Amino acid sequence: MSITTENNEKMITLMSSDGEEFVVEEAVAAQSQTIKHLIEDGCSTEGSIPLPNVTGRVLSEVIQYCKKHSSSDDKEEKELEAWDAEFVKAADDHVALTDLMMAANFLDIKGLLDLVAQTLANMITGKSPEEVRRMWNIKNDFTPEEAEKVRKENQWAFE
Amino acid sequence: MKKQKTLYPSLAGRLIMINDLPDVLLAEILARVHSYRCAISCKLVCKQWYFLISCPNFVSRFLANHAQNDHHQKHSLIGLSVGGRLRRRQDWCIRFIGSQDLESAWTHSTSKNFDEKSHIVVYDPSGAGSEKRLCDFPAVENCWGTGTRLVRLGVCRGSLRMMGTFFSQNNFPGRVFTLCVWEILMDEEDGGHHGKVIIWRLKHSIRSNQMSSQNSRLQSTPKSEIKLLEFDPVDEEIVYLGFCDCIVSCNLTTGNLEVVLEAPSHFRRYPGGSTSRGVSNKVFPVAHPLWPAPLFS
Repeated sequence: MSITTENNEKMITLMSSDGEEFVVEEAVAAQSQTIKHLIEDGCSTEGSIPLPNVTGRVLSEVIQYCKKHSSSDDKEEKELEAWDAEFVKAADDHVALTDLMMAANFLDIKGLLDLVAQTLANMITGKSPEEVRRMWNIKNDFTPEEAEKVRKENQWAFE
Repeated sequence: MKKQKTLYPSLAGRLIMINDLPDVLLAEILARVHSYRCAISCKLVCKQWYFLISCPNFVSRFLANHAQNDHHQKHSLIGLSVGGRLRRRQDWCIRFIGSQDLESAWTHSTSKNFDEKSHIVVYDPSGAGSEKRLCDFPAVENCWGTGTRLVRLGVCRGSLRMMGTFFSQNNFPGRVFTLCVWEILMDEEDGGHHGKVIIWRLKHSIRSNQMSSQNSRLQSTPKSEIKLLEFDPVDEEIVYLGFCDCIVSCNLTTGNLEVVLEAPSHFRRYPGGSTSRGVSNKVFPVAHPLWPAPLFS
């Protein structure tokens, strides 16, 4: 359903996988290339746009990001960078960053995808393989012999 | 990690952990770790990570990410090529990537003779800091410059190295020469106009009369006919030289020479005898993987 606000901004309703509805300005939703294409193809004229891959919890974070980025222009790049850093830190407390990354990928929001990917990469940087495994509960599926082989192959990187 | 699964009650049962991400997204994360060394050490986390990082496509992804971030994070993607004779299409090019200490490097190189006026041109093909800089060749005291002798660039243990042979000024045109090996370093200190200073650090130097071999054929070959071929990708003390018809490993500390490979007879341009031109210096490091990683048996 599309409604129009006082300042003539077209509104779009997004529906999360768990049935939560979010009413946002079209310009905000169009930060997502996926939604933008859906709007262009006329999928939003009747009812809301269903997003079966994104939960309400994650979607609310995504919308926060899109709102900020649709209202800022290029001149505020520095300020936006600082905002991004704060945003991703806060988001980390509410949702799994991996979920946020999946959503950014599905919704095709490049800036958000980059931001989350870089944040996760920063968490890996400087950690030993053992620390990385512990952080994400990853099972070490190398046999001792295999691990030794990998270590030997890349010996100089482990020194 | 400070987060616990229980923090996400509404997501219970469908919480995505990092290894549940599609490979393409996980690779996107791994390609953003800060350094090549770090990416390599991540190979040990689990098999999935090992395969993602070993995949040749990962290289271009890693490079693309780090070229973009160049001016923010001091990751430099730099190319080198030798000036002076570029006009004559004898140019060659090395590219390497790394953080401040150039911990990772790889090369596309062939070797060329060049004159004393030659420099190395350093540039950033990503365009981020695109001004070109000149770097001098290392100076060797009382020696006859790089002269017309062969110089070769390569990679050992992920660092860029150069080897060259030098004749003593007093001895020219004698047959004793010194084989020197340098490693390139980026100095972060302000070098006046440029910011980063590129310096060569001498790692090894050995005189040709200190090289010895059990093999009588190598003993009788004039050392002045050797050709510089390649660096051992792992062992810092070993370089490979072309001697007559053979590829020979040379230990830079002990001077010990050992035949690694004899060229098949139909490759010998002048079969037999020490007057042979022998192994061509056009030995390409074809086994160097795309990914700037050393080569292992």
